[in-house]
Amino acid sequence: MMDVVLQSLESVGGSVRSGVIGMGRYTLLVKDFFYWLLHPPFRMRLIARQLEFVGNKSFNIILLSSVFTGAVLGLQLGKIFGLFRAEGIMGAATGKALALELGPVMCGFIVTGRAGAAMAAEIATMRVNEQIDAMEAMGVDPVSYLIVPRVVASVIMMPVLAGIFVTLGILGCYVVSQLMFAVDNQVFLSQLQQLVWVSDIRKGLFKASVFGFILSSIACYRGYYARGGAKGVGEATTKAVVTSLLAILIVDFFITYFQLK
Amino acid sequence: MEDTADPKTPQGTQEYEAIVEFKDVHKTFGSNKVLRGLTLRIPERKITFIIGRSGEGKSVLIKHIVGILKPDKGRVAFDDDDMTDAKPREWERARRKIGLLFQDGALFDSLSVAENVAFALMEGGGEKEDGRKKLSLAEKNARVEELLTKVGLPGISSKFPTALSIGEKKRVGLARALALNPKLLLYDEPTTGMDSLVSELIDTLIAETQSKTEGLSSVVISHDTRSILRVAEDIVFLHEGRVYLQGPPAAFRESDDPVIRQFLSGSAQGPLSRPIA
Repeated sequence: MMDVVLQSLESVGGSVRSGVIGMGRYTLLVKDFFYWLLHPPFRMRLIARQLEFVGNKSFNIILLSSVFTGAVLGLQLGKIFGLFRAEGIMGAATGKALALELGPVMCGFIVTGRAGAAMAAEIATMRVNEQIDAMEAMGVDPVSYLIVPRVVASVIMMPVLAGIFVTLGILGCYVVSQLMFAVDNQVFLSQLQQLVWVSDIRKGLFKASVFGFILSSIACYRGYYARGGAKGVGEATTKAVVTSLLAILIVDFFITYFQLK
Repeated sequence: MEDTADPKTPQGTQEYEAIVEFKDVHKTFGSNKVLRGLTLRIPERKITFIIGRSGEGKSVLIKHIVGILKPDKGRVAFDDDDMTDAKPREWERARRKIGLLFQDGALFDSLSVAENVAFALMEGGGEKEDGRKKLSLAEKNARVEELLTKVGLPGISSKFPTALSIGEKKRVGLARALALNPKLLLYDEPTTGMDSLVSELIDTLIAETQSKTEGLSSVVISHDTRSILRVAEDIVFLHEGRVYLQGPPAAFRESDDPVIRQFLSGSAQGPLSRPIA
């Protein structure tokens, strides 16, 4: 009996210890990121390459998912508002939801799955194949070379992608409102203008930028501390995606709380 | 740093100039004590082989020399500078004098051979006085081709590492390590996994690089007894986290010590067969 209690305590203690160590390492990595963000060399070519990777290569999936997210949201809201003969505000409601929450969060999820996973896998592969050690041995700081361009690109591109997501989502909702609910054009647009404020867009884009930082820094952190060959690369990638998704949801709550205050 | 002779270091070996010095260095990973008070002087302008069983801390030792690992206790000096508590900028300067060839080459898969070889020339940051940033494209290309020719691989600069054999990867890794004209060249198990022909080629390359490069010191981590006796000018045998014996190849060939005899013969029976504590 005592053995079981001790084993459980040991297991809980071990998890707490590794969690604290992980937080410490992540904090140090973020500290190094800010150091290299402000100190030369500034690797503009690598940042441009990552902007293309995070932004341009995510565009198709953002396009498809945003149109269908807006359309399905329009369908659901149109059905509910139809009960009160208020289909006209379905565009505004969809726009508000997309601008404040769905745009940044969905973009965060999509970019985590596509670019974040790839970042974690690439850096983890470099770690287990000693390429990061080689970089360090040549006097090139891996945080400056690998992490700064990825995080900077994600922070810049996430609001751009979220903006596209919101715009195309509203377009998807508009198509549904026209084809299935016969909402008047003018009503749809005027309600949208009246209820979706510039501050909503600004708040959503700010969230997207924060999510960009979270997903890319977590992906880079997981890759950077990967250990143990191909298995380690797989584990780092999975952990990067799971941790990023959870962190986005948790941070979203706190940002929303402070934005509503 | 003070000289501290290991009990089994042959007389006289402490008198040469040392490029690297370890003094009472300890390093532990979890419960695994890898280095246990290692004291060592690596001679300048010679090919020194670091040998010993797997798990004795040979690669750990190399990573201490380039500052990828830091000792838990003890001091490490490179080129007369104590690097134990060196700041990142000091390490950056020191690393420009060190070339490191990793076990599998550790080439960057996403970069071409030319970009790999030119990596340290083009990407190294820091002060401008080293001139790396000032290289023009033509100068960079010329330097890359010169280095690839030196390692016997001219004309492959546009290939990617995935298209190379392991032997070619190691040679490209060597070209990359030589890019900044290092004072110290470190080889981490350069002949592991190679057939005897390629091993001999690599050995020749190590000896040629050493003889053709003025002022160069080389440190080779190896298990390969044929390579050791063929190329080494100085040998350091690590055992139980310390230097067990240091000296020229003749001292090893003539040694009656059962540990040394077993290592050189590759026999499964003997004192080395005990697991590392």
